[in-house]
Amino acid sequence: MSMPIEARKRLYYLPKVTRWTKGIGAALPEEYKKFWKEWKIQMPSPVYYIPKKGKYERMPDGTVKPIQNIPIPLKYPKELDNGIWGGEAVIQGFVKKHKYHQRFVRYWVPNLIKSVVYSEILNKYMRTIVTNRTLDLIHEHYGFDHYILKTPACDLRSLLALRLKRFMLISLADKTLYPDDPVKRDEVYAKYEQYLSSYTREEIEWYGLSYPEACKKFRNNALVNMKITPLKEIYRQELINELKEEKLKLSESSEESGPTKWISKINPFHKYSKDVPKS
Amino acid sequence: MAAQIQGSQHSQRILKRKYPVRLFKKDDTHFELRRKNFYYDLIEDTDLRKKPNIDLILTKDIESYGKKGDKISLKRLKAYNDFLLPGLAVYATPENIQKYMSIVISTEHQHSSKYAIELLKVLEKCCLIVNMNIDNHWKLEKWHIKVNFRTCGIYVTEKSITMPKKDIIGPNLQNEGKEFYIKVTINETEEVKVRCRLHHVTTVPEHQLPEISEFWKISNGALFPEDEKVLNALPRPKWEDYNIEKQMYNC
Repeated sequence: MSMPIEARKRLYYLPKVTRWTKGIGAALPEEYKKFWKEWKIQMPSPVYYIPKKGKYERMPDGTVKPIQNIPIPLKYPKELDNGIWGGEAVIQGFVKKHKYHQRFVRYWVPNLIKSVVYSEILNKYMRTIVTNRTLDLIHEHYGFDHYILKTPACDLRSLLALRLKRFMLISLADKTLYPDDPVKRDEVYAKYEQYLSSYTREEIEWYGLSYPEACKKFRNNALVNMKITPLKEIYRQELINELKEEKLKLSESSEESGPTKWISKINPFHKYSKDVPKS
Repeated sequence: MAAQIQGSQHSQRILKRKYPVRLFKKDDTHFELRRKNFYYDLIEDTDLRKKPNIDLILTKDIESYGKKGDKISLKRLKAYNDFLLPGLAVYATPENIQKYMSIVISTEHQHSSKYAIELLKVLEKCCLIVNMNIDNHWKLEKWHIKVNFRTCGIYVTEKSITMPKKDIIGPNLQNEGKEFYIKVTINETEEVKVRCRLHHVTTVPEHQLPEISEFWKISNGALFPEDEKVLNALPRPKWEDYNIEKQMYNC
């Protein structure tokens, strides 16, 4: 009898060795792994295509087909991490004008603008590179802070935006915003307090770190927690223990061996009972 | 055969696959993209889409835009760069509207409209050239002023113009280039004094005055000597200031 396909596949299954199964990656805390899932694995919202709604659609010839929205693959250049592009990225594709024409490679690159953003929580003006879509999203959320705190990591994508989000969350959690102005502090804290509920303090610490940064942080934390005792102290302690044991042994052996053994048992002041006759 | 690079497009676009991807089956672990699936058709360029204005609430008094607590709507880039970033305005969210509703707008020094202040400034610095006929006899009336204003691109009703007390009669070439002033009321509230300068014109080529370059910059003093004080107090046009500075530097 033949085995089912899934079971046969399972028989020769060897788990792939990834950065999360071996080495320092496996030891990273769950808080960082949760952020990683939100950043890299969660599906970002569609930017370059219009997703179809519903489960099935009827084709013009009358047949029914399921709807599967397969995203357009994007390329993330390293310059993306220095700006806030609002979900935009580079697309690589082909263009063909006619059946008998040669195909051309075409890159669709977002239109980048040098601009300034203002964060109310950090109370800072920052010169960054943005796109038209970023500015639209800022207007849609009624402010830069609301936009950064509300959108998930997969849509923000860039390390700059994620780092800003971490700083904002830390200053909200510790209430270190506006140190000189308590009235303004309470006002701004009440405005953005709602965003704290979805994170614990430990998760905020690990939010928005790249993999190398997280590894570095983990190593540094381990070094701080590790207590190094010099060998001198260990050997000294061992010697003391040994000496103590020897002393005990000596005292025991002196008790057991020699003539003192039966003499020590005799107690001249022992009271004998009356029933026992004297020898 | 390697494909050539045709160049990149710098704007956010909405694309569609020319050849759709094969449907995802039950046993598949991931979908396969073939070369065919990378041919795209352009549907729309979103950067070219016309976007609506943004509603703002002013947090400070700004000339020609409104008072503190006023609600205005502006174009997106203008609103972001000039109002939201410097902190002169906030978004018109329901919370902000409630917060700024309590501010009572003071009625003192209130203008008839927010554009009235800009128009005042323009009219104060203006020097209206009043073109009159050389051949026919005339007496300066309101509609002359109205027509000459219209050539400058300013539309004035006859009701809002108040003429000088004395009549001005022509043609008189001795009055060429002489100045007088009229009063214009905006929305029946603000009153401005406007400097005017006489100039004689005709369609008959033989009767035309000799050509002088930039004649509108030359003033021959006041038409009525009693008006000279008022005319000197009025601000001069911008190009006249520039001319005076230039002369000073040349000396």
